[in-house]
Amino acid sequence: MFATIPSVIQQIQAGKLIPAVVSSQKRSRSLPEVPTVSERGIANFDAGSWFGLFAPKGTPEAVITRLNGTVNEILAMPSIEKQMVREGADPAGGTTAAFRQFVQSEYEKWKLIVRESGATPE
Amino acid sequence: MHAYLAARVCSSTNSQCVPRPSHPLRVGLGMVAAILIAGLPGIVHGQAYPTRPVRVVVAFTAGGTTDILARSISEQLTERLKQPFLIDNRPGAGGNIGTEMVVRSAPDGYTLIVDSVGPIAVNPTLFKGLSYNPVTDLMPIVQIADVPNVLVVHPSLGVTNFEELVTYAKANPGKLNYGSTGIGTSSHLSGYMFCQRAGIPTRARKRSTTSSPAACSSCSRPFHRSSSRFKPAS
Repeated sequence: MFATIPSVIQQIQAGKLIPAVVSSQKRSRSLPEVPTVSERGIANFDAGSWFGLFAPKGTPEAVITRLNGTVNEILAMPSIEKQMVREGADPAGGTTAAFRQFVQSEYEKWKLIVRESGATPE
Repeated sequence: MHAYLAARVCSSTNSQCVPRPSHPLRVGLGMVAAILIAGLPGIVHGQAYPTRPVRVVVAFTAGGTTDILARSISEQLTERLKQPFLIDNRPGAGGNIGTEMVVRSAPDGYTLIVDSVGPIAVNPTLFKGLSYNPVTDLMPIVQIADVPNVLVVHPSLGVTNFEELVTYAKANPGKLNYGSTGIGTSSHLSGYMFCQRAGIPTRARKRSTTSSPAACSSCSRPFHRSSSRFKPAS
């Protein structure tokens, strides 16, 4: 199965599960020895999970800017970086504009995949 | 005197008349006003923010990936911004319950959410008739992490790498099952996309109803012959 790395990293390290490929474009920093799907000949395969901080629409820009700056500082802390990579997450960070653009592109991407897969919630 | 009056009159109607003679007191008052105008939003929303505890909603249960990341960031925010950032787990409906709660919250900086690809980018398409759009009703602040999915197999299968797995799957149609953490999750859709692109036959199988997507963490879905609806891998 495809599982988020944090949910199976301990079993992988214990040899109870064998990792075949990762679903992201870039290799995971937590499992650097595991190839990506794209490296194995399926071009442009990118289906990873991601996490981010959001606020309700209308939140003052000053608040957004302050939180963006502070979280970027936090993600740059070696202790946090190390802890996240150990648990299976690659620290991200970046500007609010870049994240907004990324969210929009992810929405467009998954819209096609959900429709094609015929998945419905239950 | 005439020139001064003329300057005063036209200064309020014609910008070409400035600069004009200014009374020192007027300059002083103007500066005070400018400071107040520029400073107020900062005092209310910027420098002084936060002045009280901040709620950080997590639309999933405690102990999951979203929760773990949210807690680690919130601890550091608490330390740096000198106000508690408190986690509020609001799981349910694939993350829609917590996400909608934040969409409907006051946009004052005191309710935030650490959310993931599912509720933000997948659910608007997966769930018909959501009464909100997370892409437009939430303001993205910063991406915290990328968390790739990994395709794992049990050692008993006897395959040690990707090529062997694909060979095995193609040679044994219907024999492999793949599990996911729930319908419509990136785990499930990664599996779907992978089978499509790798040219591994697959077929959507109706599975028994469950009360929540999270409840099907142990469900498995077989590789089957492709239906015509699904295009072969390109």
